[in-house]
Amino acid sequence: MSLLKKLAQKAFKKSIWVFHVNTGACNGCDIELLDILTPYYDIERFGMKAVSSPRHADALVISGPVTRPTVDFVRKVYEATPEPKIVIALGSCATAGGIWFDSYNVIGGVDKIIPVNLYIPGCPPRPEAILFGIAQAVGMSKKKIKPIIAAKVES
Amino acid sequence: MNTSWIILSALINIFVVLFLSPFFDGFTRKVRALIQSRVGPPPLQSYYDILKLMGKEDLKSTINPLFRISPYLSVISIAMAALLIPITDFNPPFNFWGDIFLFIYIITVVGIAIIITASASENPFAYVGASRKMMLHLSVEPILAIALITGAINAGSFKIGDIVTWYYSNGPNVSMLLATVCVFLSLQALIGKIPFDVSEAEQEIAEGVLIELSGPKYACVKWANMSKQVLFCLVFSQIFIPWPMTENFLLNTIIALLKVTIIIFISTLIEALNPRLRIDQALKYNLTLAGFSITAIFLALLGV
Amino acid sequence: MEYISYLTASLMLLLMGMVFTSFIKNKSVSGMVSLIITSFFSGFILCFSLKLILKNTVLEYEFFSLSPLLNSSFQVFVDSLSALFLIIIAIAAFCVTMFSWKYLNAYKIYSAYRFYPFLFLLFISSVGIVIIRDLLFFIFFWELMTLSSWLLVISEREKREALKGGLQYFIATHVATAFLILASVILYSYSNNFSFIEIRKALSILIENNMLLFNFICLLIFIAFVTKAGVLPFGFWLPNTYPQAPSSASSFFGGVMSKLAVYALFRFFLSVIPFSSNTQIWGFIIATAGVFSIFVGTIAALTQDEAKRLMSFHAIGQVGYMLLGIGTGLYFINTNPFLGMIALTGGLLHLFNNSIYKSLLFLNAGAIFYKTGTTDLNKVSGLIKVMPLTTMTAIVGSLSIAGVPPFNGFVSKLLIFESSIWTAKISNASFLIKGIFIISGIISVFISAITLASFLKFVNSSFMGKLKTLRNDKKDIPWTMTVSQIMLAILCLITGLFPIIPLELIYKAILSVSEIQLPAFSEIFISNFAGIGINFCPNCLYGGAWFPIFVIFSVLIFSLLIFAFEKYAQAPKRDVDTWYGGKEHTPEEVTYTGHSFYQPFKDLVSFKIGKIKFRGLYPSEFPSFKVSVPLWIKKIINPDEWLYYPVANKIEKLFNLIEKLYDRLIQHYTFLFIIGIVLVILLVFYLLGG
Ligand code: SF4
Repeated sequence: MSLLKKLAQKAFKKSIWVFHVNTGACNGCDIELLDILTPYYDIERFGMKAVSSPRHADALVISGPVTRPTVDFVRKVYEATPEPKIVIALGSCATAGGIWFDSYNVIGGVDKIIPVNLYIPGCPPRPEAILFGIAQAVGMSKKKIKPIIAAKVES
Repeated sequence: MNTSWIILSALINIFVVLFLSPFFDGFTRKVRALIQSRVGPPPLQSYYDILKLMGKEDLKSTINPLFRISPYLSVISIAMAALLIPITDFNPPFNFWGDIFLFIYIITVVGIAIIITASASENPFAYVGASRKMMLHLSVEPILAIALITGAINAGSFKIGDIVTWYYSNGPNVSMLLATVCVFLSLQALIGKIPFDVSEAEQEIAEGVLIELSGPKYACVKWANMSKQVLFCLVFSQIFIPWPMTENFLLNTIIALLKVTIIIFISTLIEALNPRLRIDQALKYNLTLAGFSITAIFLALLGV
Repeated sequence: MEYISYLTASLMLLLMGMVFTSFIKNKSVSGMVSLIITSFFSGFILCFSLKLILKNTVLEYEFFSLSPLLNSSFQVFVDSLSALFLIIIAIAAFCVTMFSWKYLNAYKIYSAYRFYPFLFLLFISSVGIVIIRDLLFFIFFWELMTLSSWLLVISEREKREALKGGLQYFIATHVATAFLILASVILYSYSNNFSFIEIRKALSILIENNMLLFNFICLLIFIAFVTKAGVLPFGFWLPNTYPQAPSSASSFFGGVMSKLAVYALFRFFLSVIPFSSNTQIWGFIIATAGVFSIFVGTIAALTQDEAKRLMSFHAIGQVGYMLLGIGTGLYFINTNPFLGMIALTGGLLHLFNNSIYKSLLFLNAGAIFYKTGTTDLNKVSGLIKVMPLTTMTAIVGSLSIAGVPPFNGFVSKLLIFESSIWTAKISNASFLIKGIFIISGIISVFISAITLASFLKFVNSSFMGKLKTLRNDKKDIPWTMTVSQIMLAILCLITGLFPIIPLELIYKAILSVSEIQLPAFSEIFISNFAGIGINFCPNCLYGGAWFPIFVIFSVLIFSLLIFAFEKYAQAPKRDVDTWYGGKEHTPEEVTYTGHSFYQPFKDLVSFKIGKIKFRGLYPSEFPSFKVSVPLWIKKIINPDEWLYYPVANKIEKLFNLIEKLYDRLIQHYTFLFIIGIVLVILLVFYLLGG
């Protein structure tokens, strides 16, 4: 492995670009996600920012339960994101289906479609929780459970 | 003017334009964050971004060979343009190469590279961005060209080094001051920042020309965009405000960097405090400015 | 003596080709025959003209004379300028014929003898125009060129537009020829000889005696040539005409034919018309016409959605650049030979370069037509997947025409820009004139960007993007078509990288033509293998420079570094689908068609004056003319009403009356007959008795 590659992997943790996917959320989670861009929480101090194309993204933030029409889209987005990537399930719905877990139109959590690295439960999760989750994912804060991403990033 | 001097100042130019540009970008982001009363990213953030992108996966959405090559061309041509800017002395390191027209065309090549990348990527958003980028280019480049031609008419030579030497020794005159003002007013459009970033508008067309790029390609185009900022600020500060210039090349470089920092600060203020223009508004603004800047030529013709 | 045998041999070859191809109906056989003949022809001509230029000699030969009848003779005179044009003709002719061989198969209803004989006739007349030194035969060849190209334009005569464009062409060029003939008659009445030398003598007397007539002759000649070259407003026919011919013929039109008009202009104003203060005025007029044509032609080109029509508009714009260079040169060559020479060289160099890349671009359009059956930019896309080499050549051609370094368009445009802007430093020209020249220079810089924009649109919408349905299979086009394009593209690159080669040829050509004292090549251009530096005045440091080899060298180093860097980063690669936002789309849904490019800019330059709509400063729609005539005029011009019908009615009544007389039975007639006889007898008796 070349030096540049190693440096790139080091830099990965310091600059995570987020692409936000809504698979049928009630907009509660989306607004909370926008909240972390505001001056009060200011996620950019960790080098994170929201991008508008999955090609540029390092993290997919998926909010909402995966409804039937969006299954294909979720797969496409996952395909369209370059490796290495983190998938973050935001909110109770994305984690396991939330209050719609048994709806005829809902497949369930995101992890039924694509592998998920990080779950941030809550309905909706508070911005602090989101920040904390992301900080855990990139190893800025002590992990209580070792997430899959740690293996991916540090390998 | 010996070979070692040329190589040394070429290296300094490349270093300033290419390798310091992420730092200046970080500076911009910091200033913007402060204006918006945020903390903002660490100053080296843009280096991290580029490094990270270099290691990411390179996704190919097309078999078009141009898609593979042309993103890198943008960085290369920025480097070429950097060699035609005087930083260490009145004369740019490769002054003997070419003149203002070569400089203008090399800048155009940056645009061409990105436009061809965009259209090779087969994405309709990228096409929209490419179309806008070309329109922006063709409306803003005449302003720079006219300003440089004003200098050329004053100095009686088309080479950048001669223009700067003449300007430094003969002091400011009315026509050059007018040209300077015009270049300053078009600086945002030259750099491609708000209010003129219509071709890469994130909210409207999902980063337009850059939408399909990922990994090293995206890193290179990002890098080229950052370097473009430094490059045009250097054009403004070194060609149109060449004072003060000393004998020592290191001192000159430091002065140039200070000047660039100030100009980037002003440009960031403009960026943070303004909304984005529509493409037709941007076109009208630029073409009006270009028409106005012809006055500078007539003043130069009168010898003032 | 050996020179003339080369020339006769090549002309004979062309004649032979014309005769042969008139009898062969099969397209491929005819194409092969003409390719063989043309390659011999091109070889001969190239050999001949290169020898001529390198040995710095001229060829003078008189074939025959019409002496007792008219003072005119078939006088061949080949100097370096003619040789330069012979080179251009040879290159273009070879590539065009090579391309046509397989290309004509794209036309279903089309037999070979609608095309090749006329193409050969076009070659013959182009060579004739270049080598002749006699006004009468010049007009003869000029007319021959017009006719043969007209026949090529209407060769697809089943199409209505072809006939319409052909008609416009026919009328416009013949009006121009009429001007030329008028000029030649006036000149003959003074010189009593059609030879250029005698005409020059007569003209130099005329300048002193009759200024007005002299200027009138200049005007006639100017209009005649400028119409053919397609300079606006005289060249209005060009965009309707060029696209109608088969692409290989349009390639010859755009690459050579319209440039021959510039050649004629150059030849007349530099060597036939003697230098005087009038030359300056005409130089100024030529330059302004050029700028007008650059500005309007190219902006109009930006609004076009049809590849060949777009290129035809660019043919107008590019001729403008040449005229700007030549006009600036003519204006300043007497007072400031350095600047004048740079401008003239720039103009001619642009002509040389233009003939290469213009031919190339028309051939590209032909390749698109061959593959898809249309050249409409809204209907084709993604052709790079079918013909990658053609795409590369199209990009080379587009960048050349836009003047992007290091391709050849850059050098000539650089010379034209710099010479027109450097006029500011000339002390003995008036402020207004200098201002106009500088504004012309700036306009041409601006238009360069527009040229780039419109050709990027051409490349982007036809070659990039998703592949749409093709007319035939997904194979590449035949190799002959590809090779002819690649040859032209390589020429573009070589003449761009080593500008010294064409520059020196052209400089020699200008020196051979003009008769005033001019500076030597090495005084103006500081040149070595790597490029050129330009001196604008005798004792100053060189003010402009262009060293392509150094630039390319550094570009290569940088690209090596960058690609090494990319390799070192070891980023993995993967093929994915295009990202539209998660949804599947068919290619038709997501292509950004050529029409949508630059819409805001198009809106900016489109307006309406009265009832005439302007798209890109160029009138696109005329209101249909409806002349309302007063009633009495209608009556007068309709004699049926007041003359024919009344008279006819009267006559009809008369005949009806007469007819009634015959409407009787035979007994009545016998009865009447008897009465008549009795009456006659009574009358006779009365007369005899009385
Ligand atoms: S988790 Fe709660 S807030 Fe978020 S999408 Fe589901 S229901 Fe809405």
